[in-house]
Amino acid sequence: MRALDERAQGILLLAIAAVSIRLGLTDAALAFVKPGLQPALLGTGIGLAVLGAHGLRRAYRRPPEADVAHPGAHHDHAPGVAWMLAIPLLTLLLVAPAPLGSFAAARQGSTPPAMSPAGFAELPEPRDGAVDLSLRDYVGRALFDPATSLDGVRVRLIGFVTPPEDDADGSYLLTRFAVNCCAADALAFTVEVLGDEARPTETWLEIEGRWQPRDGHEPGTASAEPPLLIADRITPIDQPGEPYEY
Amino acid sequence: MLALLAAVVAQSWAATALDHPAVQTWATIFVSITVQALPFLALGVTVSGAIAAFVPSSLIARLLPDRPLVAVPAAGVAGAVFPGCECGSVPVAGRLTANGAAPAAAFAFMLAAPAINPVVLVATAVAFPGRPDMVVARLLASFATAVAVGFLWARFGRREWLLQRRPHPVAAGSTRWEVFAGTARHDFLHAGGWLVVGSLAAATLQVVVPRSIMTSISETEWLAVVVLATLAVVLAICSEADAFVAASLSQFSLTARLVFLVVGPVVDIKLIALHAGIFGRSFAIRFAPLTFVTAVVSALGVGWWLL
Repeated sequence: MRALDERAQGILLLAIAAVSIRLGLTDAALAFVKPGLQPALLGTGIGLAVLGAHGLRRAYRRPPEADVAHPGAHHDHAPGVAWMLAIPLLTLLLVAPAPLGSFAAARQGSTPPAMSPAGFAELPEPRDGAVDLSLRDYVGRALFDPATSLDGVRVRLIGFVTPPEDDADGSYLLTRFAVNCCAADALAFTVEVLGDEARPTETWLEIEGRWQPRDGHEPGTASAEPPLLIADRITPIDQPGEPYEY
Repeated sequence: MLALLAAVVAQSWAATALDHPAVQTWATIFVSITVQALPFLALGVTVSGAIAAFVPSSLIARLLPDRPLVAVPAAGVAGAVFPGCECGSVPVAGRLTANGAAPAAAFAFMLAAPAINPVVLVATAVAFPGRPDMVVARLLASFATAVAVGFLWARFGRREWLLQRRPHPVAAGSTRWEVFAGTARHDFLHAGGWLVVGSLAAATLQVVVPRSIMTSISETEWLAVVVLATLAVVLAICSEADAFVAASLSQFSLTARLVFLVVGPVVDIKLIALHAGIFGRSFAIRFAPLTFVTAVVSALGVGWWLL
């Protein structure tokens, strides 16, 4: 790959800076990283814009005779591998990546991630008769809370539909990813929804319902299967602005 | 400009292929690894630019001298105050070696910084509630890895394995600000390009090798260690987030998960690409296996002792 002269470096840096600033300011970033990283992306974008503008200014301000007198003397080339930085920009343009969905969830399997069987805070106050819980919190309490704090509580969960691994009974899975830093470390949290007819995969739902323990599962221990949710009010919704739990 | 035009034309006929969920997932993971690394890379090149512009080579050579017994552990400790993940510390180490530091010391800094800085240790404590021994074990095993690799390099490493780089990628006679901006720009584009190469490989492996296949192997302890060490290389997760993934892999023993936490920040797919780019290919093919084996051995030792 050809090395980049100062003008190409400046243009590439300005393009990266523009994307970085946009990700720092808009919800578009939330398909990739946690919101806490957005101020850092904004700052990075501004810094890169300054570097890029500085490089461009140097490229255009240099008197042409200097090049003739000392060919190559003032050229600050960057290695050709820098062109690779255009690939994520093109990917954003071409593929317009969506937040991780059911394909990525299926890659992780529906076995719940392990959590610590301690440290469960008081449930929040109910809103309109149901407690808003993240799927991560619901799965944690349903499987690992020895005090079974979900017993008899009406909850409201948000997630998207993923197909069950064996579609014997008409149930489906409700899934949401939890992200700690970026989508590469996303963990899928899944519940099995009972009491509803089949739904198309990837549909976002808000479900009110109750926890039902699985036969033979001892609260506070790991389980090979996702916890159950008996649904009694299901509302299809748009994909939330924050597609992951953070 | 041409690439942009081609992209717009290609979008119409490639739209169906690009809508495939595997491609979408790949693209999301690839872009997110790159985007999440950008701020850390920016921090890293700010430091590397400042080193080139404001720290004379003679001072670097004095602070990180060619006396490994002193310099290597000192550089490892210095890594503890650099609050970044692994992408940021590589350009800093590259700049340090180009400007007169002993490579062994620069490598000890590069390996220690992403693993034992306070941000990463706090994240580990949050991910493993009630297990402070996990934090201590991670700190000790990672530090031991950094220092051991530094010493091994000082004893057996050769200068000619390293790509020779100019101390200043900008023209002589520039002002300090010119040197700072020029070095930061050069190092950002250089390391950033290799970071993209690494993220491409990491995203591809994440999509091609489902995590569930690897994590279903946890019965035999030695096999579990091999699987999690490999997973750390393949997943290329930022060191500030890897503890949460390790915590979720509870079918594995704590020692096997410690191996995951110690290997990840020092050697993974995107780091191998970065090392190959910045220090040269003949460096990377020696350094990657060396750090991998050292990290596994030191994590196993600390794990059996503490956990």
